[in-house]
This record gives sequence, structure tokens and C-alpha cells, in this order.
Amino acid sequence: MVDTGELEIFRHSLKSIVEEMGVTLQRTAYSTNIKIRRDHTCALFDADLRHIAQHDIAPQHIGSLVSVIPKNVPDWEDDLEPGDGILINDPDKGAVHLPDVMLISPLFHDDEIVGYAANSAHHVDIGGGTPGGIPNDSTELYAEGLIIPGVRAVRDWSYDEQILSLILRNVRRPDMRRGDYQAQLGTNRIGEQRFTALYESYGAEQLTTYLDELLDYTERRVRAAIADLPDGQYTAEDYMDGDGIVDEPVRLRMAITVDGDEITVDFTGTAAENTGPLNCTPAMIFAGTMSVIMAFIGTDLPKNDGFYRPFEVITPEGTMVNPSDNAPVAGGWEIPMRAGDLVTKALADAVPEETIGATKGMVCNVAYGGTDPRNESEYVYYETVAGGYGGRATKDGMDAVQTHFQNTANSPIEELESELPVYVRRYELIPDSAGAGRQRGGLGVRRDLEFSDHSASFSLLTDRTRSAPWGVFGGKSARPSRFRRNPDTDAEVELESKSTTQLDPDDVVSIQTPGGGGYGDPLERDPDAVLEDVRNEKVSPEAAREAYGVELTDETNVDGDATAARRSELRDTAAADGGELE
Amino acid sequence: MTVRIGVDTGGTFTDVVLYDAATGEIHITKTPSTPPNFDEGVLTGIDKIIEKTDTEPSTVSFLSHGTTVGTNAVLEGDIPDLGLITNEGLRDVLEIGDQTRPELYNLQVDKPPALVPRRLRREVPGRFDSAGEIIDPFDETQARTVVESLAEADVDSIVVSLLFSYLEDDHERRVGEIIERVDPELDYALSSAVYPERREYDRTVTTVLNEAVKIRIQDYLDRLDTGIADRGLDVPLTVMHSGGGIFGTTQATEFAIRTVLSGPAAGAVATRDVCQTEALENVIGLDMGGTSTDVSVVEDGDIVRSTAGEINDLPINTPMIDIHTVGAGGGSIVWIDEGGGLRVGPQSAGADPGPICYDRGGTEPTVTDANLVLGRIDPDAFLEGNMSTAAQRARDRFRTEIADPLGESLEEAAMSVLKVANAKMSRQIRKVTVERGQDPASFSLVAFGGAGPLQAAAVGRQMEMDSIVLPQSPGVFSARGLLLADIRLDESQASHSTRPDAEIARSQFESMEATLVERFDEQGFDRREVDVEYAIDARYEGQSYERTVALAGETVTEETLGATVERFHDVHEQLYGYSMPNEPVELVALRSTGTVETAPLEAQSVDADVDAVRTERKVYFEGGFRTTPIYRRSGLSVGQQLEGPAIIEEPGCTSLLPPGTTANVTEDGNVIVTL
Repeated sequence: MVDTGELEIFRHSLKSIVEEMGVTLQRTAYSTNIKIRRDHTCALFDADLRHIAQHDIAPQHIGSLVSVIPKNVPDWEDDLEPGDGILINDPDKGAVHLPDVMLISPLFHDDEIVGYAANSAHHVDIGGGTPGGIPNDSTELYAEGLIIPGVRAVRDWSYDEQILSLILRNVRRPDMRRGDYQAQLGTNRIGEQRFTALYESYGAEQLTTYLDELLDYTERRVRAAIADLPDGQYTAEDYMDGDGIVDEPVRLRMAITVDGDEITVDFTGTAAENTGPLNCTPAMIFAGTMSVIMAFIGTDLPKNDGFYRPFEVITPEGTMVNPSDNAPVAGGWEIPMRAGDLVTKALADAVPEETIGATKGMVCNVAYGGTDPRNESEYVYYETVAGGYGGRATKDGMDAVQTHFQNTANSPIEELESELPVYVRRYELIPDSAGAGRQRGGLGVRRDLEFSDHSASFSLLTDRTRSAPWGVFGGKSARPSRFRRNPDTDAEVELESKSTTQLDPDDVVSIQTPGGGGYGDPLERDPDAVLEDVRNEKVSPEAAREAYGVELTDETNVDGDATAARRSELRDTAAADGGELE
Repeated sequence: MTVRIGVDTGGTFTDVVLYDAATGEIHITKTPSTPPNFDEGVLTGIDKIIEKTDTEPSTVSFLSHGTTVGTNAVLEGDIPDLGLITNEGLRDVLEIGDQTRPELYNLQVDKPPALVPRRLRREVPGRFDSAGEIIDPFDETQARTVVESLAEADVDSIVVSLLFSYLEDDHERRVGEIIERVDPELDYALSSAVYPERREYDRTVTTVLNEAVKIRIQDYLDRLDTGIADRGLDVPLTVMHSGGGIFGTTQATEFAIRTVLSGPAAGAVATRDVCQTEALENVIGLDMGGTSTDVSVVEDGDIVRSTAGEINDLPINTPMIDIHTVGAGGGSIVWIDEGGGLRVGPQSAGADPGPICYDRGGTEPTVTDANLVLGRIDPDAFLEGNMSTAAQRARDRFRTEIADPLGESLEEAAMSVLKVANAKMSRQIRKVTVERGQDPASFSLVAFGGAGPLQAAAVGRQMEMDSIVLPQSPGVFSARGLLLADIRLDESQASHSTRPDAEIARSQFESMEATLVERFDEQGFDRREVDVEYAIDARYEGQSYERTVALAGETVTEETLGATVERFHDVHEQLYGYSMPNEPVELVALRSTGTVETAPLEAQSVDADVDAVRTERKVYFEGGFRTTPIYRRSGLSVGQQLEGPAIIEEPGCTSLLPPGTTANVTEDGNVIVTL
């Protein structure tokens, strides 16, 4: 039995290592995705391929490393030597979409492997037909970029230039990408130095004892938290926009079964594999689902092998959450993102006070590229845009945030405009985009980009133009996403959520993300809170009257009598419509 | 030129230290802080020490202050009504922030406050591009309408933050002129004047926070200035800033955001001073109070600084001492989680009700109670309440709440608590050393604050350090730092050329130096007294994080700039394990710092006129209780050596020497413990 104090020290020591790896990757990388948007993670595994520590920064990557390492390392480990590094991004081997490239380094002590340091980072480009690695029209994996099936690209802590040159020749802006690959290597190097020191200070035997106990301890805590949830089967479903090729909504279905101290998540009933790039690997749906379940069972639990033991995730083969080999997956992250919303919807019955309304529930992949007229050089860029958070039992949903597994930062406008030939013309909250509720949802975001003096290729690979983020317990739905070319002009054109458009010089594209769904009956919302939203132009006076039944006498006062009358009128109308306020 | 006074205001107490250069004596007093009007406590403290020491007010030549007024404004979101003017389409940049949630796995988390409500954020047409070239003309008429509407909304001040104003401030200045015409009484701040650096959100939020704190602090400092003059003290008040220097009240008002770490910075300065007097190169300052512990670093004799920090999830973009705070202090609450794991903090019992053993109604076991269980602190040290019953209650609660669930004896459980608290501090220390490529074992630990000297030996051993330092009066150590701080002003500008260009850098440095000289002149210092240093913020072209590197030379030339870039490669290699000497290096910002040194305190001899050994009692260490001598700090003499186990007591602080340690009292009265 390990002393609990000693165990806590050990846990912090492991955490320090992955945090330091994370800082190194972020500070040295070149891709905006990694350095600013923090779309990366770092992890440690032991010699038995058990996941022992994770840098809590981008939960979408949890699934990838946890899936890839146990699955593939046994095939390689006999040939590995100190200083080796394996690059991999192949979805058929357990990875996710191609831009998320992993580097895995064995850690040696006295000629024996004692663990692995690994990181996964989202590169801005991985080749393929569309700048930014998000083609909306791929029907097989080959069109989505370079597939790296697990190759020994590093020897003695240096890249094999033959292999690296092959990779870099296949991607846009190879100069920048080289910096990213270099940063990933430096990161594992730091992991090696720190883990080796830890190994030496504990010794092999003691380290194993501590690791066993840490994983068991984590498992105990997770099981205790699950046991607190009421037993039962909780189901939810929703529809995604089309897959980019076939313009028809497709169903995502989830059943969460809580049985004592174990949870099963079953995706049976989910639509079959899509022709277009709306498919995700089991590693992706695992990460998306788990990251939201984690929020329900404790915010500060260690993330390691012990955490996952009480869970089973069922992904039937041939569905869009477990497609066949070489299926297109570029837009796959939209599915686990929606699965996050479904977790909150399913668990609404189990833990009503803890759940939230639906969030923006879309990743909002946006990529663009072309030739910069200022210096005639090629450019490529990728970003995602925040939206509304769901309303909560005691407070409104946050305006303009990333949701569920996604917590990537934005690109500062001054950085963006310095690097690329674009102007950010609007970056603002969208009034009335949130679902009304006793606690309203958060507002969506509008980001308008002007592509000055050149013809850019502009790609969207996202979702939620059709299924509005729902409210819970009487809360209303939010506004879905919208995409427009040349908005508010005579030339305005609607863009599909999965589309690539060759723009004319000086075109403007408007990205408008959904708000979040409300929580509770909007007619119960504090009229002063409605007034405050009207004063701040987050809710229009019309919406105050129609959705909340709040009448204002002027800009700063609620008309109490008129509000009571209006609310009573709205309740009567709702009752006449069938008794349900929806 | 004989008497110096330092006043450090904390949440509970205001500490005052007076140094008389003629006698070499240091005097200390404490008085309750007086929130929300902290100035009353400060003036009371000054009265008290002057009376106690019978000092002639006119002989006071130096008066320095560490304040929490700025800290509280930010921490408690106490923000006045401000208006904000931005470019068209961008009024929400301040509220959107970086679009992230502060926590990942928490559905109930909230974003930092927006600081300026949306209705007071207005837009004006007019825009520059990333080269500083105009792309949309400025609209005077619209700007006037916007300013008038904010003036009518009765805001306290208007912040103007437009894109690329760090390159071209023409439109911001024109808005400023319009504000002056519309309402000459109305305050305003331009982002290009307050924080001329790249990244619009950081620049905007920094300018807004600065303006907010400024409005809160200016009346406070005015009242202090008046109170000091009323007392016949003929000395300008200076204020500690987050960078570890002091500046005058005019500058403390103008750059108010720089006072947010005023208190902890004083502790770091005092740490460096001990480092110098004891001829140590590398030390870590461990300031452990009731709710949290502040960690600072001195490396090669210099305090480690950073160019930015964060409070309340809000970025604070000003040069500051690199202070890391962890939620573990004497009052941190101890609890058992669902998996049966032992946890310490982050909740704290604070000063009120405080730990159980304070007997002020506290019922939850804390780190201090764990120390009591182990006999490490004297139950009679708490002057209120019935000590013996409170101590017994602490033991009982500790047994039922912590020891029994863990299946451990009372003492074993208490030891576990201390280990967890120490592990948290160790992780923080690793962050400031390991993450910067340093081995913590090569540092000494300077322990202060009410609780630091109890834990420091164990923390130091965990880090494999050779020694810890227990300074004089560790309980009021930060106030001592106020007496020692140099007058230090910083200036920074975004680099006007991303390629290292000596010509452009030189002209920027010259303009910054002129500003520095002007500021020192306002404080009555001549250019010749000011030591000016230069540094650059550099990164590989394509990266987004820069490192500050000191200029390799005293003047900017092709050679020195080239050598500085070489130095950047070295720093990168040291921190991140590799460098890329063939990759282009980009200059992001230029920094210059002006310093006027403050004379050190003359060493005073320590005369022991009381018996060193006060008593003895049973104290628990790994393996069981041991009879341990209890020393009086005031009874220790220079050169005296103590063997652990031992305890040193003094007002406001207890120090622990575990078995196997040896302590020596140095000429300056510090106790150095060899681990």
C-alpha cells in the first residue's frame, strides 16, 4: 500500500512532466493551431503501454494517443532504439483525421524501454486537394492528404531528412511545417529527460508499485463518482447536416447506460457510414463523449488508464462512428462535438441541475488559402470560431466560447492581418442568437473576413445549419449556424456548411455560429435580466416581448403591469397549443 | 538622510518597518488593515512607528508602500463605469477575449468579466492595415457623436483602442482630441500610449484594466500624499510596482495596473537582498501565508521577471516579477475525496474563522491544525480563546475527519497532510525552475510569511536542496523589501522592424530612453544617476512566443544586435532542448529599463540578551515523537549553531528544524539551515 501523500507527490511529478512538454510544444511551434490555438496534447505511457499522464489542454486528442499507442506499439517495440521517434496519423491504425500528427518516442533506461513520451498536434496543412486539410468533397481518405502509417522518422533525436523531405514536399508551406515537426521532437526530448530522471529517483520496482496504485486510485474515484449517478438508460439523438456529397440529414444516436459504478455508451442506431467526409473514427467519438462525461463526474480527476476502465463505448462497424478502412474522415470532428451535446441531453433526466442546454455544438472548421498579393507567396490558414454555451440551472450560458472537447483560442486580428491578406471586418456577438430561457443560452459569434485584392479558396467543413441547439426544461432553441458570401449586399449568397468556394478579389465571407439553448421557461426569467440584455443589445425589444413576455416602458425600465399581462397572454397561448411551452 | 520607512498593506494586517541608518536599528510594528479605506491603516501605522521610535518626522528620507488597492480592484472585479471606443465591427473583441473557457471539464464555469458592458462599447469608422497604411478614412463626425453619447452616459473615463495603433496612433489621438473638445473634464486613455504592443485583445484589456485601477487608486494615493504632508514628513511617497521597483505616486496612478503585484513583489525584493548579504547565487522565495503561497526566483543574483501574467483569468501585460501562486497556506482546508484520497485546499479557512485551533469557530481541519497535532506549533501561541480545549477539539476533529477515514494514526495522518501541502509547493517550484531548464537542487529556499518557515525544510529536502534560509522577522519580511527597492521604470514598444535592424532599433531605444529620463526627472533624479539597460523580445519567424534577451552590449550596433540574436539561440536551446541557428529570428518588442539604486541597509549586530532556550516539548517527526528544544529567535547569537530537531519561535512565526539538519546564525542575523 502506497502512502496517500506519497502518491499525491508522484501524481504531481508526472503531471509536471506532461505540462512541461505542453509548454515546450506551444512555445516553439509554428502552426497557429498549435502555438496560439493550443490544439495539441502531450502524454506519457509506461512500458506496458498504459496511459499514465495527460496534459489537460485539448481533450480531443485524448482518444488518439490512448488508441494509437496500445494498438500499434507492440508491432514496433522490438526494433526500437534510444532516440527513435515514430510519426503516425493513419485513421485506420487508430488515429483521427490526418492533420493531427502524432510523434511517439520510446524512453530507454539501461537498454530497456521504460515508457513512451508522445504528443499529438494539429498541423495547419497535411497536403491533399484543399488548403488547410479539410476537403468537403472527399469520398476516400487518399484525397484528404498525406497518410503516415507509423514510420520511424527520427533516429538519435534527429529527423531522418529523407523521410522529412518526403513529408514536407507533400504539404503547403513546408518551411513552417518543418518548425512544427521540430517542435514536436523537442517536446518528446523534454519528456524523455524528465521521465528518465523520475525513473531513476524511484527505481523500477517502486515506480511500478506507484503507477499501479495511481491507476487503481483513479479508477476508485471514477467508480465512486459514477455510483452517485442514478442507474438507468438515458438516450438522445440528433441529426447532422449532410455529409458534403449527399445533402440529407444523418442521425446520431446515443444511449448512456449507468449501471452501478460502470457506464456504457452505445451508438447503435447511428446512421451508416457516409460517402462524404462526415465520418469519425472510434478514437474521435470516444474523446468527444468522454470529455463531456468527465464534466459530470468530477472536474479534477486524473486522466489516465484507470479513468477509462469503468467505461465501455460501443461503435457498431459500418456506421459513421466506425467507418470502413480508407473512409473519408476530414470533417469527422463534427460528430463527437455533437455527441457532447447529446451527453448533456441524455443526462438531463439523470442530473437535471447539472446539465446544460445544447451548445453551439459545431467545430466550425474554416480554412482558406491563396497567393498573398503583398509578396506573391503562397499562404494557407485554418481556424475555428466560438459560439454560444448552453443555459444552466442557475446561470446563463456563456457568450462566445468554445464548447465541449474544443477549447482552442482565436487568432488575434493583428496577428492574422500581419500574416495574411485578409481584413477581419466584424468580430462580434449576434443579438437574439441565443435560445430564450429562465437562464438563456450564450450568444453566437459573427466573424466577417474580407479577402483583399486576391482570389482565395475558402472552405467550410462544419455543421448545424439545420438542427438548432435545443433548450432544456422549457428553454427555447437557439439560432443555427449561417454562412454567407458578401453579406448584407445585393450579391449575398448562402454557403453550405460543407463547401469550398473560389472567391473573387475583395469578397467578404461571414461566418455566423449558433447560440446556445436556454434552460427553463423564459417566462420565468427575471425581467431585470431581460432588461439588462436589451440595454446591452444582446436581446432585441421585440424578442423581449415575444420570447420573454417582458414589456419595457423605456430604455431603462421594465413595465411591470404590462409584463405580467403579456406573460399571462403567452402562457394562455401556449396552453391552447397543447400545454407544452415548446 | 537617516530614517527609512516601509509600509506593506495586507488583507488582515498592515506591517510597518522603520530603519534608522544612524543606529543601524530596525523597528517593526503591525496594525490592523482598514478596508475599504486602506489609507487609514497606513497612516495609523506610520503614526505608530514614529511614536514608538520617537522619530522626528523631518528626518524621514524614504517612504515606500506596498498596496493591495490595485490587486483588489482586479481580483474583486471592482471596475468603475468606463466607455470603450473601437473600430467598426470590433466592439466585442473585449468580451470575446480569446474565446476559450477557463476550465475544460466544468459545465458551470464562467468567463472573466467583460469589464465594460456592451452598451458602453462604441465603434468609429477608420482603419489602418498591418503596415500602418490607411485603408478606411477616419470619420470625425461619427467619432464626435460616439464621444457625446458616452459623455451623456456619464462614464468615468473613455478607453480608445483601435487596430494597429501601436504602429500608427493617428486615429486614437484624434479621438482623444475630440474627447477633450466635447468634455474637457472627462478622463480618457489611448491604448497606443498605455500599452503600444501587438494583439488587439491584450492591448485593449490592459488599457481598460489600467484605467479601471487608476480610477480606484488615484484618490487613495492622493489621500496618502496629503496625510503624509500633514504629518510633517517631507518625503515623496513611493509605491512598489509588480516589477519589483518603486515609482512615484504620479506614475503609480498613470500606470496603475503595475501595482497589482505590489505586495508579493516586495517579498521578492527582500529575498534578493538576503541572497546578496549571504552571498548566494540562486534562491527561491517561499512566502507562505494563510490561504496561498507565492513563489519567486532569484537567479545569478537577479530577480526573475516576466513580461506578462494573469489575475482572475484576465491577462496582465506589464513587466512583472515572475511570481507563481499556489492555493496552499496555513489555513488551507484538509479533506478526503470520493476515491479516498487526501486533499489539501484550495479552500481556506482564512483568518476568520481560521483553523480550529484559533478557537474562532473554525470546524474544518487545516494545515495549521496538522502542525498543532504534531506539536510543531505552540498551542499557547494563539492569544484568543481557550487554548487547551481548542487544541483538543482540533485533535478530535482531525482524528474523525482525516485520520480514521485514511486508516492512519492521528500523527501519521497529520504528516500526510503536510506532505501533500509540500508536494503542491514543490510542483510550483518545479514550474519556476524545471520549466525554465534549471535544476531546483541548485537553489536555496528563503522561507517567510507566517507559515513558510515551518514547511521550508521539508520542501527543500524534497527538491534536494542543500540549504534553506530563515531570514530575520520572517512574518514582516515583505515590508523589509520595501526599504530596499531600487527606483525602477520600464518602457516597451513593439519593434518597428521584424528583422533585426540596428538603425531602427537604435532610434526606438533612443525615444524610450528619452521618456525614461523624463520620468526620472519628474521624481527628481538626474540622467547621470540613472542606469539604463536594453533588451529585445525575439522568436523564430513563425513562432508566436517570444523570449526576452538582454542586449549583448551597452549600445545598439550591428555587432551587439547580432550577438544578442546569437544569445537568443542559446536561450532557446537551454529552454526547449534545441535551437535553429539557420532560421530567421524576428524582433517583436524592444524593452528598456532605468534604475536608480537604493542604498543597502547596513548590517546590524545581533545581541542576544535573553536565554536562547525557552523550553522543550514533544514534537512528532517521521518515526515518532521526540523531545525537542524550543528556542527564542531573539535569544540567538551570531555564530551560534543549532542541531535539529529544534524549533525557533518568535512573534508571528515558528520555524522548524527537522532531525539531521544543522542551523547557523549568520552575521546578518539570518539562520541558514543545512539540510
